[in-house]
Amino acid sequence: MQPHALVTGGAQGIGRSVAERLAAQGWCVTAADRDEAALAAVEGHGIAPAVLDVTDSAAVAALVDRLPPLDVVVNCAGIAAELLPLKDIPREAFERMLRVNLGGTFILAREAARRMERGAIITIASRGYLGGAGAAHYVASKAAVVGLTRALAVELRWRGISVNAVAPGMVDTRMIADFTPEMRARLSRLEPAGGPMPPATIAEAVAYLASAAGRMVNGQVMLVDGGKSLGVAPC
Amino acid sequence: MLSVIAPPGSLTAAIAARIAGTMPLSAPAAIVAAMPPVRLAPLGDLEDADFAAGCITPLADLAATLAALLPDHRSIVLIGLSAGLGDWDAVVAGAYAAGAVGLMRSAALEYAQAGVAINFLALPSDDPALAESAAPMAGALLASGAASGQVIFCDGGANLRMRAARPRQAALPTAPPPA
Repeated sequence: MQPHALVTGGAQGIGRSVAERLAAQGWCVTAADRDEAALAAVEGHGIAPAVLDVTDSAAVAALVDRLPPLDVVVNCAGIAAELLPLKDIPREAFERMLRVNLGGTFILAREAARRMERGAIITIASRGYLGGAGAAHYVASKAAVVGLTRALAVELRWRGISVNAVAPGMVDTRMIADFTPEMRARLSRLEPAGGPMPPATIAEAVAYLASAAGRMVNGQVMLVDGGKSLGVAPC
Repeated sequence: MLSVIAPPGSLTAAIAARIAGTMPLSAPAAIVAAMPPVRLAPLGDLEDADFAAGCITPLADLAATLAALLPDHRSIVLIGLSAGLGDWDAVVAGAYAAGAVGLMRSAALEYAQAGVAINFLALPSDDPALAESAAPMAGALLASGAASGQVIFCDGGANLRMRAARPRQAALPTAPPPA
């Protein structure tokens, strides 16, 4: 029987790439996203679309209820925000970042784990979980996703469900589309690869963690950042 | 001057009481509680409200607290749990602790050039009796200012975690009620 994967944020960026990668290996994939128009573009070739706001727990539960049994869940839905010093981040922006990136991951993991027999849950963190100036809300949300991932792994490993995080460096998605050319150039200089990587690179890491062999990896953070997290300034 | 941001009677308040006045502080310092009350329960039993009240709101609160303390307070220690490493029933506590560490590291990076040191003291529980063992480390971090952005596990090595792997024991069956 075809394995079934649910990918949130599946209409764009990393999520879309993950959906396409898993579908290409013959999996049945449900791509969930808020953006109905973008979803229409990914439909077909083994990908079924579903409109979903990951912060709406009733909607997440209803979706998982009507889908075939899940083998793999990939939480790619997430938001970034303009870079701001800690003192300038409005309270509402801070909470919204946490509600989407962290709360959305929690809700999906809970609703999936309530119904999954075995399989893998993969969260998308960020290299930024290690800390970064000018994005305290984003960093806090992604660091907390890593803590959540580890707690889930402790609990769910006995049910044959692995839980891991992939922490990408700079990826060429809509999330960085708003960057000014100057900011993009400045951040690209910090990337060992010289610039953002394609989303397909992250999809490969997710596909590995979703595979039978990859499920022996558990409670880990896979940094896919070309080594930027080693932290030594470029010369 | 030592600012104490902690509920009365808490472990953090007990640590602060032990170190207040005992160490040389060249600049204002702060000790901040980073262990909100959370619901300890298996994933499937947690409600959205448990996660919001134990993790999302307190993380935003902590960010506001740090923003208010910076940059005047040159040395800040957060008192939190080691649950960020993952543990049983630690979905809320673990996500909060890890998020607080991310926040701490970001603040440490943003204010490093201003000479601010921020660290996270990770303790195994919120028992105020831990103050005796944790206070010397908290005091050293506050007084030194040389370490910043670090998580110091103050748990006697419990975080090394080389334990036999086995599922949690189910509760033993209780004796049947007398007939």
